[in-house]
Amino acid sequence: MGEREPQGNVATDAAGGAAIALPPPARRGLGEALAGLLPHRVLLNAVFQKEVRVSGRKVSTFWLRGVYGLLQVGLAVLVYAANRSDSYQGGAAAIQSFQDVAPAVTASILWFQMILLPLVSAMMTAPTVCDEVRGRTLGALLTTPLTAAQIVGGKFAGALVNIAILGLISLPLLLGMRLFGGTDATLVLGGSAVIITTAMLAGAIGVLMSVFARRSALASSGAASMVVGLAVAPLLVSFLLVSRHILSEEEATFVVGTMSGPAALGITQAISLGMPAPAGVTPWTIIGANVAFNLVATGGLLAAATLVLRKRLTGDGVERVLGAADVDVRSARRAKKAKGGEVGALEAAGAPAGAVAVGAVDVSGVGAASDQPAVAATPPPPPPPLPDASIVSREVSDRPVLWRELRRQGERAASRRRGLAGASFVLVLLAILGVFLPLWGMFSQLSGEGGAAYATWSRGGRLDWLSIGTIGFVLLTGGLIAVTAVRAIKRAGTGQAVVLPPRSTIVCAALAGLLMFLYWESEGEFDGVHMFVAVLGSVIVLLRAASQSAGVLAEEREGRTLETLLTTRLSAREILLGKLAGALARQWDLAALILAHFLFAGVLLDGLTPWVVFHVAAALAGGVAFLGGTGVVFSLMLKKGSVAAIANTGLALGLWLVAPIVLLLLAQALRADSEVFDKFWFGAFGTQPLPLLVFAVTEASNASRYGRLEYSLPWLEKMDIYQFTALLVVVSALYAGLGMLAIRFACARFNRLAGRSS
Amino acid sequence: MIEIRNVTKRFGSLVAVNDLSLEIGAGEVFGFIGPNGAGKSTTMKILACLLAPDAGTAKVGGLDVTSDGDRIRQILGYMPDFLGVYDDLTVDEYLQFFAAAFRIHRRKRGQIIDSVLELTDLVEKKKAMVSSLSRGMQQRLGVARVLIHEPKVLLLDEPASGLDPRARIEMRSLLQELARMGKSLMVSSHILSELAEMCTTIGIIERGKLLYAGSIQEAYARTRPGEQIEVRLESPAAAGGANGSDTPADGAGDGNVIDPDVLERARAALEGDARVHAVAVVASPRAALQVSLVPGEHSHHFIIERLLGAGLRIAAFTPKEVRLEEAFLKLTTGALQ
Repeated sequence: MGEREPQGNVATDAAGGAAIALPPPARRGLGEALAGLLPHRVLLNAVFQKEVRVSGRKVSTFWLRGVYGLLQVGLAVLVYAANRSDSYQGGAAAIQSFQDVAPAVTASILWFQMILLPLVSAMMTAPTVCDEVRGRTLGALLTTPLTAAQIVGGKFAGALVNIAILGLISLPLLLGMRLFGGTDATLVLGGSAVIITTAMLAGAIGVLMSVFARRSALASSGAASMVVGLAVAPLLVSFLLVSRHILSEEEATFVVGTMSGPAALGITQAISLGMPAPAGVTPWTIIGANVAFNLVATGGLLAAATLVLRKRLTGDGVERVLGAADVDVRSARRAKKAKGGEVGALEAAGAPAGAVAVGAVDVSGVGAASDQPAVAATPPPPPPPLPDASIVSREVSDRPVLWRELRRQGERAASRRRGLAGASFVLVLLAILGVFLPLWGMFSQLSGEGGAAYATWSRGGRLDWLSIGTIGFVLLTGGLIAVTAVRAIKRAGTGQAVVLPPRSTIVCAALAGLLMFLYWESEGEFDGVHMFVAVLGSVIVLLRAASQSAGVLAEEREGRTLETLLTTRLSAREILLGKLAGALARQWDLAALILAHFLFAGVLLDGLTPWVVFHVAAALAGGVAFLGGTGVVFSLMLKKGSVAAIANTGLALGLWLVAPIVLLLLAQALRADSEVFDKFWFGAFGTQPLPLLVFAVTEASNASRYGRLEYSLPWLEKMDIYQFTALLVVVSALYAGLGMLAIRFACARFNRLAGRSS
Repeated sequence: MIEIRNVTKRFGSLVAVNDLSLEIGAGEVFGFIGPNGAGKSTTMKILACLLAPDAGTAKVGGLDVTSDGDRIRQILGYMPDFLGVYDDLTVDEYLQFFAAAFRIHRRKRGQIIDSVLELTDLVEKKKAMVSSLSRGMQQRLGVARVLIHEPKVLLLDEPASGLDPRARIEMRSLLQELARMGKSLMVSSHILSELAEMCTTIGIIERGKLLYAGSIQEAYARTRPGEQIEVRLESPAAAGGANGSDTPADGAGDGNVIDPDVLERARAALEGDARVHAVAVVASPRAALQVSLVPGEHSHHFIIERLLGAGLRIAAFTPKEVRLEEAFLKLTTGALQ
């Protein structure tokens, strides 16, 4: 065997003995740089191999696959049982029966995949980079020749393997439907392509969130919310564009189908079932456009994640990536500014000046008490760094866990306070406009001259105050964000901390702006807006509650602070309830926005019954309390926050989405008569906060139009407002009670599960 | 103050702590030594009520760790090996947080925090964010945190781990100060020389088994049958040279060999004494006699008297020091094979 030639330069020592192979000088040409972007280098690299191996060793991976497959098969069997006909007898007839049922089974499998696979995909990729940062392993990755693109690509590709396996689980079933049931090939193949690429897009969203977020639970919840938003937003955008006559309905169908996976599947399914397609729209154009959009968006999001990661690795982000204790660039810059730029980073980070700078061990101070001599003389220490005026120490309350959670919410950035103050101001302004402007208009009209002026100015329309409110809102929100951004840019130039407005403030501001636009466009017909706010807002609130509550202890575990907390005298109840209350309090903004909508736009403007505000609040409170409780249990039982978040979200989806469908299919399979079916129906939807909320809003809207407030549910018909409120309160209390039971269970098992011996 | 009786802790098939028994008295500074994975941290976690033992009993201040957790937490401070801190708090808030967690009244918190900050030399950093502290300062903040409720017993798991020399010196001084305050300390460390300077007793653990627990002196005695003294002698020629010339006075002549006559006379003078176990020649770094004494307490002057009585001249007389590292290696290497 010949010896391998050393690569690069070879240095020989003075004695001519040992030869040291030196790496060749780093000279990356354009060709090499482009070669580094080849798919196999970006995706199938060492990071990919590590991810695949690690996931292959985890029991949870196989549990997920097993449960996912079983659920799918169970659903298919149930749909088959519900749709089969008893009239067929014999072998040929059975095949005929199978052909009748096949479209429904195929649709159930495809929709199961379409709903779950992107969510699982997003939550699977969301913790990838966060975990590296938390585990302080990203620093080690950075010492390798891997580029940011390769790290991001490897992480994504590693998760993609698992997603592909989950996607392929349904393949035998779908092929069976195609072969024996004669299902439309376009639906099977095209639907699968849409599902897989939508899941890829969701995975890319997860990676992007992972680069942004500090905690995996937060990244998971953000990614899941974005996936839901991405599925729904195109529908809304198209609706708006159609209403503004910018797009025709045919164009809107194409746009929605292109941008939303569920919409593409729905359109394809509708066409395959024989429904008329808009002119120029075929299943394959929709599928092709959607797949292309998904792939391009996936690439774009991965590129964005790469850029963000690279920025973090080369700038201030080093602090975040390597851990604040390792390198404190921020404090170094502050101190440098305070001392005229003469102080090094280490000094600012805590080491006395001169001790490190001269390369000597300074044993002055505490060290001088020892018998070790100073190795070298050090210059006299400069005065201590000036305290940062923006840092304010506050007094801790007697409930320290809750205090810290709430303080973190309010103090993380001063802009948050400004943001919230601005949003509150806007709401107050809207309230004033909403209540007083019509009154003023009415009064002015009565008073003659002023009334004519108002009528001219407002064009006499009922909604013109909304124009003013919208303009005011946009100006205020935009101004708020602009001021914060300008301050951030200014501070960036001076080396001070860059404080950007918190994401939740921006999201809420954007949602509030969207609401205003919807009010504008609805031209007084608020029913659709109410439903949109009730359903989408509640789903997001519940999803956030599910994932954030599941991260309460994971955060302490990941930060290695749980042990410290457990050695204090804090009880399980104080720790768990404090963390949970803090986690839930952090998302009051969206809930407040929903309630504000129903209060101002619903009750004050649209004339809905004031009870609707209570109904919305009660339904949300029940769901949030339930998911909060179960989230705490998952947080205790599962070590990783992201896994706990997936489990809790899965529980919510299973209970409130899968279980009702299963219940109805079961009723159908059992050939239940209409009375029994109504009971099943009530069991499926009448015992859930979200459907009850929808009923509450629908009936309240109907009542404002037709003047009769009556709630009719299958099996429980013609309830008056008090009966319905009682039902909603009972259901919410039931869920809240279950949540409390879960918390009691968590408190009782806390010591064993968290690690205390007594 | 700490009493461990036949404690065993298993993680699956791994026995992390194996039938360990140990006692640490009040005011004692106990150094816990062992290689990585030996069971030091597991033992400390059991004492801190963070792990329940599978067998045996562990008591802190007479309180059982499996049933008196809350009362133990009042008298015990535990600093884990990897210290996680809430980096979004200021130093003052961080300590206030733990003061509140230990149910210290609000009015007393400020005074206590000031005193622990002074003790840990962090007064100037009171208003700084925890994230802005260096690693050494964060470790000292960790010590300040465990002192906040004035515990009688401190469990410090690798408190000097990862610190630079200066921070290690500061940490050692701090621990010595705590010992002077009369607290019982259990300190684990890999920096054995620091433990030797600080601890009154040590325990050596390997693969969950306690190999030794007792005083450092006793550990030295156990690792070597008797003391060893290195003696360099002058040769007669060199002695003459030493009287009147600049020739180096060395019984070894060229420094590597001892004059056979000198060696013979030295052996004859020493080997007859019952306190001398053996006399050997060591060549490195310079040739010298190595006198091994039988175990027990012996004064060294009889060696000098006997050699001088035999007409030999002593160039150097060095009782050989036993370092804690050697004791540790001797006690752990192959002990469990």
